[in-house]
Amino acid sequence: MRTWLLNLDPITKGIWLLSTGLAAIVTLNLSWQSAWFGAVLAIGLSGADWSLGRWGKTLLWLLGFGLPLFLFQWLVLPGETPWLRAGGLVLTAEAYRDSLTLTLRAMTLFLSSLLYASTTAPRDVVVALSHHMRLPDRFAFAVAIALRFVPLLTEEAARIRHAQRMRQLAPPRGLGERLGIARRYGVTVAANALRHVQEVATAMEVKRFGAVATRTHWRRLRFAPAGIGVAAASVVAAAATCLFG
Amino acid sequence: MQHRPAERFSLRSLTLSEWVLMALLAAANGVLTSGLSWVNKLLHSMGGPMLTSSLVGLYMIYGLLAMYIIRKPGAALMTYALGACIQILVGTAYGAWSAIAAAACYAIVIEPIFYLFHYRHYNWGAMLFVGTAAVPLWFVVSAFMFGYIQYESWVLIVTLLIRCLSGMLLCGALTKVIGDRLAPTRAVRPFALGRDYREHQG
Repeated sequence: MRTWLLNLDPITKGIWLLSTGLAAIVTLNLSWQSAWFGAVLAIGLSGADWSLGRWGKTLLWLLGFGLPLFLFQWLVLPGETPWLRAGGLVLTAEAYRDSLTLTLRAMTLFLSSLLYASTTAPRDVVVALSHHMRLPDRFAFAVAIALRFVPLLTEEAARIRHAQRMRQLAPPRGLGERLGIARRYGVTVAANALRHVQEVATAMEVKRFGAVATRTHWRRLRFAPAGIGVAAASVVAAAATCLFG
Repeated sequence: MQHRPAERFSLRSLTLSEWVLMALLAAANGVLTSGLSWVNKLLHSMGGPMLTSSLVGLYMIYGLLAMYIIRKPGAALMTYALGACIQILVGTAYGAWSAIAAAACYAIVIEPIFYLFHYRHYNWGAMLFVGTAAVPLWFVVSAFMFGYIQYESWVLIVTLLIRCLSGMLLCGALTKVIGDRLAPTRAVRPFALGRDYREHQG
């Protein structure tokens, strides 16, 4: 059975994502920031349907960048009240609080973005952009094409990298040689990718893309009450954070 | 005769091939960004805004490359808008607002500069200038967004200098290098870059 976050449409979930992001960016209050991070974590745990392994990897990533970021910021952020002394180094209480707040902000932004991306079907996004948000068809379908290109480009880039590596008999030495390889790799990937442009454009023209003024949509979005509730609650919470946080 | 693009922006002025090209560049940026965002996060953790700024030029390259190839009003704006959508959909380590704000900041700077250039100047000087000029606005916005503003002022100045250098080299110069290497290829023949190259070659 699909968990509740997977059943939400991309628009209401997008409102949640943007509200969460706005609140996290606006507040520099540690309690508010902790509450937002806790809320995102709770939403993810209850609705994302991630496996334990995936949660483990994500938490490892969060700690992997969060801990060094926290320490770095504690060292460089200004503060007045000395809290810890190590040799000539003075770590202040204000820097500790600000560093923890900024680290929680980064983690909230990262986790909310990851939850949105992993629980949203790209096709629903195209329908939302074109049908519900009334964006020009060309833009909405360019988004669809780009999404289709992402795995293709990744696969092709990997294939080109393997081919170039196999052709090279000895490992590269020195910066110049490495830069040369990177340049050749970049140009080959770009030229190869550009070949697809004409193929796709011709195929779309053959199918008379854009020839009819109004498009019909086979796929429909369903705005579930839960989605509307989550969107409304997150807007209210973000407004409260902006006013009081 | 030099190809003279329309100087008024309209969605219809961009052909279907150009939309597909912009989509492809946005997708390439999505792949690059999702790959680099982890590296960037690590750099951010180890050296804060200073280290992470060294890569900033790579995040801007796709819109400038679109403008370099298409040479029409709105090419950079639309490519950055597509790029922001893709980043949100594939997941970005810095959040949705950062993808939207960065794309808007780059487009707000790059489009008017090319408008002033009448969409005709794509020499080394112009490209290095555009790559550098696109940096400061996003720097100011991101300083507030990510809390860099809390840092000491020397950190902010060094960060801005590193970003400008990265924008100039990894965005401006790299766009010129990649664009010029692509110009003789069949792939860009339908676009202004290919047409201008052929006219230039006689």
